Amino acid sequence: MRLLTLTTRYYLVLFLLILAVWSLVLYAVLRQQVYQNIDEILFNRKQQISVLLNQPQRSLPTGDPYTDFKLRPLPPGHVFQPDQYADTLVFEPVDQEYDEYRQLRTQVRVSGNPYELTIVKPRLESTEMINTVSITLPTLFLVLGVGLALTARRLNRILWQPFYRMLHQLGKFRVDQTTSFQTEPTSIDEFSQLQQGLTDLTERNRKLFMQQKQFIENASHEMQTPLAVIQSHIEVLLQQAELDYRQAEPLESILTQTERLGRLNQALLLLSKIENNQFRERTPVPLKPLVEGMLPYFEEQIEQQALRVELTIPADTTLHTHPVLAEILLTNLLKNAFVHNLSNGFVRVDVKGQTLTVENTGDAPDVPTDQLFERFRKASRQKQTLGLGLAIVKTIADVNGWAVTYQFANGIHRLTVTYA
Amino acid sequence: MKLLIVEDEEPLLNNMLGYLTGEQFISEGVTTYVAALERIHLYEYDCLLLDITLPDGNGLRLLEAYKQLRKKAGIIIISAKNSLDDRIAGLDLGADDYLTKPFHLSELNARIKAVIRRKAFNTHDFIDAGNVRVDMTQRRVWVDQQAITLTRKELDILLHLLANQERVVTKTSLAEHLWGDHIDQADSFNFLFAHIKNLKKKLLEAGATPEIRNIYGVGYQLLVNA
Repeated sequence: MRLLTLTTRYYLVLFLLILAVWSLVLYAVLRQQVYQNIDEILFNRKQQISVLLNQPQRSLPTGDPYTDFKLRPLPPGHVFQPDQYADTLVFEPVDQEYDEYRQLRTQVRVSGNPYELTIVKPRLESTEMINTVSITLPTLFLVLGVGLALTARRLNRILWQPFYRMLHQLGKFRVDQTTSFQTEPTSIDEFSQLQQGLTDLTERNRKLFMQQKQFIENASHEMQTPLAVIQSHIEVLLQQAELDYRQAEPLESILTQTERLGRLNQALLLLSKIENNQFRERTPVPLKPLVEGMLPYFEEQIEQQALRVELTIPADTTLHTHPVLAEILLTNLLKNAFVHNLSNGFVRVDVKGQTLTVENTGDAPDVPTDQLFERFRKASRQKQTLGLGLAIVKTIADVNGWAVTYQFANGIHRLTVTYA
Repeated sequence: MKLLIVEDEEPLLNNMLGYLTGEQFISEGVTTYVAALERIHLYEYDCLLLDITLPDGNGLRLLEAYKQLRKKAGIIIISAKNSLDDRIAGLDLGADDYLTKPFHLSELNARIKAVIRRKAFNTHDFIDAGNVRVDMTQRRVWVDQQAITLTRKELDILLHLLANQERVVTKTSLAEHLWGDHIDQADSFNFLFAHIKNLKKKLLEAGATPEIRNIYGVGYQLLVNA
């Protein structure tokens, strides 16, 4: 959920709560004001009536609909009670209903005799008060709420735009990209700071990653010469005529391991170079002659395991990439297919549309399928392989923007490169 | 026949010189660009081995300078940089071959001989060893004037061993020579054993005097005058 939607929701809930409490408060205040006002009127009226009643020339008016009070004689010696204010209902013959009145019950003396005086006055009715409250307040809140929502949307469009742009950029950011993280400048301080922070952070990561890659390449490169020196020393040692079995055996082992180190190093160097985009130029590389030219290198495997090799490659298919990458990709795919094969099995290379499929018979992989493309992942029974072949395939596919997938079903390994 | 090796890593240079001693050419070694430049101006060589990264210059510049002298030695570039750019630049500038460090001395020896042979423009390019004769252009083999049939890889093995006569050629060196990066080591050794076995058998049956000896599982040695 968007931040602003969520904020607006919280505001609206808060508004509703305030609305509820505020309605009650307003109602109470209003009611109190009304009562105070009417009670004051009643009290004043009582004073007025007391004065009027004790004027000698006046008779006692009773039952007159135009008067708002009633007098009822009390027995002599009645003890006066304090004034009593109360709500009452009075039947209004005009509109045939009871209306809400306020009544004051008090005692007065008229010519020395005690009387009970009851004064009534119509007052603002509760329902009217409630109506007033429940119409005006919600209207106000509705206006406020709609206003808030609209403002939020508008703000979203204007103020938050830089933020969303940054988010978009961040989503696209790759640590191995060649350009810096860039967004348009914004005048809002917080966003500007965020932008600065993001730019610094991504730039640092990018640089670190590049240094790391560069380091691997440099380290591999620097190792080549010492390895060459060691290897040449051993080769010279092996030429000694007096060499016997006890010396030859460890020398052979040292040589084998040095060569292995050399190959490992070269493979890592190659991976770094591919990742560092050193094979940038792309030309159409014809696939058919490339694959066919590699087959003689595998003739011993083909013969030994009686493998069937099936090539379905249209003569005009090309791979649009660097010639070196095309060669390395196919070497590794074919090597993989031949090395992990079974007797009387097959290797099938199929090019159709925008996909290159290499299938081969073989045992089920003992490495989880999703880890096959990781570096140094290899089947435990293949001790001699470096475990970098498929990592190289994946890297080549990545730099060219191709997809590479692996499947194993019914004893058949299938590697598919989609170069759409 | 004279050979100049330009390589700044002294132990490696010494091993190269040591390995090549006793071949039909005289090898000299220098470790700097300046020394190399002086030598190529003063003397004539049949083959130059140039390391690309030198402390005081670049092997490719040396190659350019040499080409401007219009001299005709074969040139092999040696580099720790397995970079395609260097390889292409080197070959474009007129280098005859390219070797990447680390390399096998036996491979280097074979490449030098191949370059020198190509430069010699012999119409009939034969290699003789004992009673074995190989026609390099036609890729045919005779034992005592009797033609024998070798497979392509058997012949490649024989040629590699002939280029390194009397030397111990390691099995990895042979395997790399035959298959490069294309197959796995364990497999390539097995296949190599099979090819060597067949080659030995064919040579033996034809009564060839050169003998291929197995050296403690490390490699092979072709003894011509056993």
